[in-house]
Amino acid sequence: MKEWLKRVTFMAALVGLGYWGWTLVYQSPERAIRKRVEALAREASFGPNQGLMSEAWKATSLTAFFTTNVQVTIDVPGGQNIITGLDELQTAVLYTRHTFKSLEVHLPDIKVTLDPGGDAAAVNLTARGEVIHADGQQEDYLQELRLRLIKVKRDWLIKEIVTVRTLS
Amino acid sequence: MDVNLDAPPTPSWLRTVLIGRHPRRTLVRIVVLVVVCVLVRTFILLPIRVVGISMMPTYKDGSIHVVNRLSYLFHKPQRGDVVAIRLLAGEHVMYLKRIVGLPGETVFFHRGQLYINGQPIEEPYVKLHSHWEYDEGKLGPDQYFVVGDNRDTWFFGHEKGRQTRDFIVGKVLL
Repeated sequence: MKEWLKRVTFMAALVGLGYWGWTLVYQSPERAIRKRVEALAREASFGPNQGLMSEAWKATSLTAFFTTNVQVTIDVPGGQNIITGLDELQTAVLYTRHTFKSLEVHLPDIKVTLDPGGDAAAVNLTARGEVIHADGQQEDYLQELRLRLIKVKRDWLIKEIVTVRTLS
Repeated sequence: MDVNLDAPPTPSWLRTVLIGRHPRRTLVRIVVLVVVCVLVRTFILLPIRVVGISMMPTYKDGSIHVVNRLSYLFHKPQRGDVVAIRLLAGEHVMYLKRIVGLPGETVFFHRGQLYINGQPIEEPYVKLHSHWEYDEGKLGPDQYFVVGDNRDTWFFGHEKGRQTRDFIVGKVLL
């Protein structure tokens, strides 16, 4: 290989490595939020045969993603279910874990819109849940959600979750 | 026995089958083919897999189809078109529905029969009927009303409603 080609290749690799390192250390708010929401989906998923301790620990660890005054508004036929605060949310999570045998949450689309100030963001996402009921029956759910996140110190916390529909 | 070591080696039949007699030309052809496929996949034809039963029996659960993104480049969506509608967050998951109401029209269902501007509309594609009682009202100037072909489903569980033109990704071809 010619000497100049070797140098160009080396420089390109160096620049690429530098860029990768930069994005790793100083990741954009959009990317940080995206990773946060994906982590929440992983944490919300659970498999069958989980012990009581594991269930309780996971339900507690989920609360780390939310503000203390979080509000979750779920549209149901004929009205809305509103969950307010971490205690109610934790109860709802434990109820879900008892109702279903397993739940796998996937987020095929996440759209982050940062507020002009940079300390709050709106996230539109498509959530797909693969559920196995207690009787072994498998079912897939699709739900569109809108999240409102705020920046607390270096962390992004979810303040509000609302179910939304493309077809209104 | 004479052996000419300077002569180029004759390509084996396997090599000829795999990369052709002229590897450079083959490489160029492969690159062009890949670029064309990516462009077509990104901007023109979008493959989709149906999940769910709301478009039964026209489109069955698990079947593969193609959406033409350019369908409405030169004309507006028509009644009866089966279209893909993107969701608010993106295009990885979309709705597959049939347009039954056009902008400015009033839409309602009485005993499962579709009425547009007060007139009953024949829907030969509907094989699974319902007894829906539902008044959507008048559509906006850029709104289309879409619904699935399978009306024999729980009313609240069947995704249907109005959406604007910019949410319609394209028409289902196959």
